[in-house]
Amino acid sequence: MSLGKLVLKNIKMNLKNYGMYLFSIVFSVFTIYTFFALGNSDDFLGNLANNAYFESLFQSFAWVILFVLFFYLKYINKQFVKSRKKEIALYSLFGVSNTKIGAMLFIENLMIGLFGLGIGLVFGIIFFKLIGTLFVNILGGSAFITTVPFAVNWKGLQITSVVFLIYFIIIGLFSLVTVNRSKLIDLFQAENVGEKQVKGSWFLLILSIVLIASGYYIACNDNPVVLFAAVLLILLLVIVGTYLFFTSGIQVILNILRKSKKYILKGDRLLVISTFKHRIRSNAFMISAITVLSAIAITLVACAYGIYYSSNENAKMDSFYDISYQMVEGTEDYHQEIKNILEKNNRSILSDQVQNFAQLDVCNYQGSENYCTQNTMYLITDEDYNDLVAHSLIQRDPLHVEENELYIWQSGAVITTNLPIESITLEDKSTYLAKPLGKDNPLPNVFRYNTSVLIADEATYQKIVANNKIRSVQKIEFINYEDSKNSETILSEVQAKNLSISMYYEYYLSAMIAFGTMLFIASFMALVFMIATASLLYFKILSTMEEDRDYYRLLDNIGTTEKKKRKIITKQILPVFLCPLMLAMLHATFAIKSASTVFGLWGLSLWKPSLMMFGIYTFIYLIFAYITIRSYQKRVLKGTN
Amino acid sequence: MLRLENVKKTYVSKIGLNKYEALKGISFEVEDGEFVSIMGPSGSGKTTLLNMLGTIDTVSSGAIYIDNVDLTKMKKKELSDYRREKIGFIFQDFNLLNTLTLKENILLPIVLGESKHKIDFKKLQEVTKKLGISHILNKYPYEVSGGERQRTACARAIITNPKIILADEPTGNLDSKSSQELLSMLELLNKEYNITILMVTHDIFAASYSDRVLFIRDGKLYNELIKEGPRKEFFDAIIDFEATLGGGVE
Repeated sequence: MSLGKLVLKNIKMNLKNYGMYLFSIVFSVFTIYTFFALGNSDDFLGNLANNAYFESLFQSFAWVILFVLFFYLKYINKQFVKSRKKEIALYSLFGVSNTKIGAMLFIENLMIGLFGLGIGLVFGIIFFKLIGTLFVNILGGSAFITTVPFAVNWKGLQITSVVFLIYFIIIGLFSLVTVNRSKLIDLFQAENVGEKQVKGSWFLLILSIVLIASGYYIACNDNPVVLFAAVLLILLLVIVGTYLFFTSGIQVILNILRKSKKYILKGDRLLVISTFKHRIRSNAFMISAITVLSAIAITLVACAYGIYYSSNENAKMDSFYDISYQMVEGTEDYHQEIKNILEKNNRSILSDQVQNFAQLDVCNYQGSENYCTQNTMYLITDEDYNDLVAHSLIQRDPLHVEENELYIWQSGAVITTNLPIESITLEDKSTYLAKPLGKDNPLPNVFRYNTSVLIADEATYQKIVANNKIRSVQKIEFINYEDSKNSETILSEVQAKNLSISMYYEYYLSAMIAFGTMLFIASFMALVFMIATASLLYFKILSTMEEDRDYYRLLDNIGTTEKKKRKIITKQILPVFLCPLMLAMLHATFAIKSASTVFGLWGLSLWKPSLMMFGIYTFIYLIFAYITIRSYQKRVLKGTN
Repeated sequence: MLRLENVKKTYVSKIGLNKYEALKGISFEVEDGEFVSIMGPSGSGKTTLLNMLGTIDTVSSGAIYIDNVDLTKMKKKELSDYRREKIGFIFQDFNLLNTLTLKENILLPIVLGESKHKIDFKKLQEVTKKLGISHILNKYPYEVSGGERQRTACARAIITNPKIILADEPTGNLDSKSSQELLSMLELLNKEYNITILMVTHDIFAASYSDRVLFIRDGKLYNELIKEGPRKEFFDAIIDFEATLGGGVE
């Protein structure tokens, strides 16, 4: 048996200890490879997608994840070295120099790292086809080639290998320095557990609750502008509140439980509460960070999911009809061309109408009564508008406009850049109050940007047209056809003919690509995130295992049965996972509510994606709690005879 | 020969506000081949003393001479060599690696390479036979009893032919039968291999196996008892002495 053999044997025997460490590395490598590979696969998305967009998006996020992973891996490594204190102490005791122990750990680390890198890459390559197919399906499937080829992405392989290799070397050097600096006596002494009783403070408990509650209160505000301005404040309130709650507040609650003789002196409560109290205290910072970051991850995914699933509805609102175009000079043959393309694709036309819009000069007031902006706007009657809506892709109740009032519709760009228009004065000096049409009553984006449309009842319309100069009459043709959701060939033919028309399918596709990618990246990152935080808790709990052995040996001595000890362990560890989980879900509920206000997602029902995220999050945490409890039981109880 | 001269150990809290003197100047000598027990109440500084002899901890002032070389003046590398070549350790909680078999645990100090000792299987056989663990060498620590684990730790301590064995409460986790067996082993090692043994213990029965008992109290050497007759008499003498100490001694 030589030193090298000893290292190998140690790795082999420690495999179950290494298990989670290895898993963390494998999962990290897998994620990064997948991201780089997706960013570099210009061959599978086909020509409908802008490949440069994907490349930069995936690569940027890959680097963001890599940045976070570095600290994650470094922290895990630290806990890992800590959990092997006894072994290191023995080596040192038998006269192995610290430098040599450090070198041993370094080599061991590198071997584990390379092993994990290898497995991670193999998984990445094997599952790329699956993940790629999933991704393409999220983007709207049929527009792209449906079978993703099984291929090794060499560039992704290279970047991933090089970056992780550098990571392992840097992290290895860190642990080498740590070991080199450590004193033998520190290695032998138990972690300064300092079971100092923390009373916690009522003041801080109440303060933490007040902070969190006021954060929630602001988050429930209905005004997006106010809410947007307050985002940082809300974050600050909730983060500080969470931190205070876990460092001090929760201790007060636990102390009350502890003092209540009726409660605490029943069953194993005393043991459970006291250990839990200590665990929360020594990990307060980490637990609050995990809580806040998990809440953010859940919110991101729930919103991304909501937006993604509203892609179709949004595309319908934007396009209004399957095909529409302004009949201007040069579009005379559009009608025939469109008809030909649809015929070629065996799609029958469902509706086809031409609508006139009268264009006139107006003077509109925004916020100030003294200053008006000269503008041109379009005018139609409420009857025409209702008829247009009735045949469109969306379903809305008919709009009824009273005599002498105007409804105004402004395209997206106008709303965001300017204040809402309050009143309108026409050429003939007649002034009308402009009622906003609201987001739910759309008009087609065929007008593109900076356009406003006025809607009047028949009598008012006639009065306006009679008394004001009409600059021009804008004609727009609106067409609906069968099965417009599957129009990839139609779209490419339209693009080939260079027809300048607005197509529902194009909106739909670009929304699916943009929001699908967003959803994919957000979900992947959230998954990385949840697994990372859950495994941090795992490592943190197992790192004190050596010291905890005495505790269970003591329970042994006072005649606690194995079954009872297992139960106690479960009850002690489970809340460490459940506490951040519950609070994170509560935070996320309010965050999702405020995000939907800020980003104007009112119409979307976010409760479904939110519940789904809560479910996945809970599932992952419970699995990790189970693994943690199992390995803790196995290892702690095994050492107690 | 081992000699301590006015050894002090002071712990200073991180901010430097609190000072705590664990050892307030201890001097004594131990002859080669002597079996010495160190007794005293909890917190009297026994383990600190043993840790400093084993160079696990450093002294604040004073000197420790082994064969007239001052340990406190040694460099890191020399300390490593000293620990490896001259000292064997036995701990209360055995300190065996669960990932290695008993045999591998015993050979660990040699395997770790820097020792000039070659793996001597004859010696392994001889030692483990004497300690009564030769039939379980391929088992893992968690598969054997506490007594067997401590005897394994014993074998590990002597496999490198150390001059001195430092034992910190070696019987602390053992039942009385295993304790007795272990102490007989230590006595045997002491007599047959002429190894100097320093043992920190609470256990009067364990202390009665040694040639001399040093009592430490409040960081100072308080008294010593020397064995002159049979073990039973020495045992009674230690009990009597502890009785005169009154409370405070466990």
